[in-house]
Amino acid sequence: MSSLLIILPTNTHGDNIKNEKLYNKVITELRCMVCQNQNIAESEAPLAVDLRKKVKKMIDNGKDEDYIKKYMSDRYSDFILYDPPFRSQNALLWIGPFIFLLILTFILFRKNISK
Amino acid sequence: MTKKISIIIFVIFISMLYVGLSHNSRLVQSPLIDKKLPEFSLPVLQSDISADISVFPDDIFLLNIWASWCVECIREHRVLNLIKEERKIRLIGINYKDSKKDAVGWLKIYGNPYEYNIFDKDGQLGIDLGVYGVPETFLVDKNKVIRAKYIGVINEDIYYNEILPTIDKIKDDY
Repeated sequence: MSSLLIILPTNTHGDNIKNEKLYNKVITELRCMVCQNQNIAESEAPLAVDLRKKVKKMIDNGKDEDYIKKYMSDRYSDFILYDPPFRSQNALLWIGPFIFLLILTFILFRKNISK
Repeated sequence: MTKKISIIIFVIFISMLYVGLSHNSRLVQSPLIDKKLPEFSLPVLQSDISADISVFPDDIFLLNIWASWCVECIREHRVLNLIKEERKIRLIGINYKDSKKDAVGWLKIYGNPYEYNIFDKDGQLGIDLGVYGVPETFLVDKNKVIRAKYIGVINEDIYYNEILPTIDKIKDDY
């Protein structure tokens, strides 16, 4: 990990720290597509290395986190994001637990009343 | 009543598990389908010509991403040679993260089914195409719009039962 930090750009000191933070944040939130549940910060797979370079380049060019994440998910789908946005395809995953809770409450409530 | 509901929940739960387990989570549906091919500027393998998106034909074609270091590509190459012989679909290659020497040597050994190859040494075009497991193959229509993506080795079954019918369907739309 530490070797990655060294290759960051050398603009002004303030920018440098800000970019470094952004870089470290973004690469931990992007999935390594070819590994079993690793992010691209942890993986040494060639694709992860390439994507880290790409992220660094985009940060050097002043792109923000949203831009980089959109760039990646436009190409690799939401699967690359560890925190996928709410969409119709994954709606059940987001609201499923609450529905489950509601149903459970309903059943237990009814059971208590009928007693 | 409660029993009924529990059974329903149980059945729903099991069927969700079944669906979840039966589809291959390694295969990611490409968000690039129905999008235009990305712009690029790269050399052509075995020539000094620099290529961009305009080199691609105004015709339906297969765009196959391969590399000499890709072991599975050897298995796929037999089918690619067959596709070339059948002449039902044009075939263009992207040589991905390879060395020129290795790539050219590899084509000499296993045959060259490609009209030409784009030489993507750094994998930038690969990133733009969302490539994560070589070999990958795109089916591109005459407007240079990606119509289908095949991740992994194309075998005869995929070629005859998926690619050719899809091509017929696309041509019917014209």
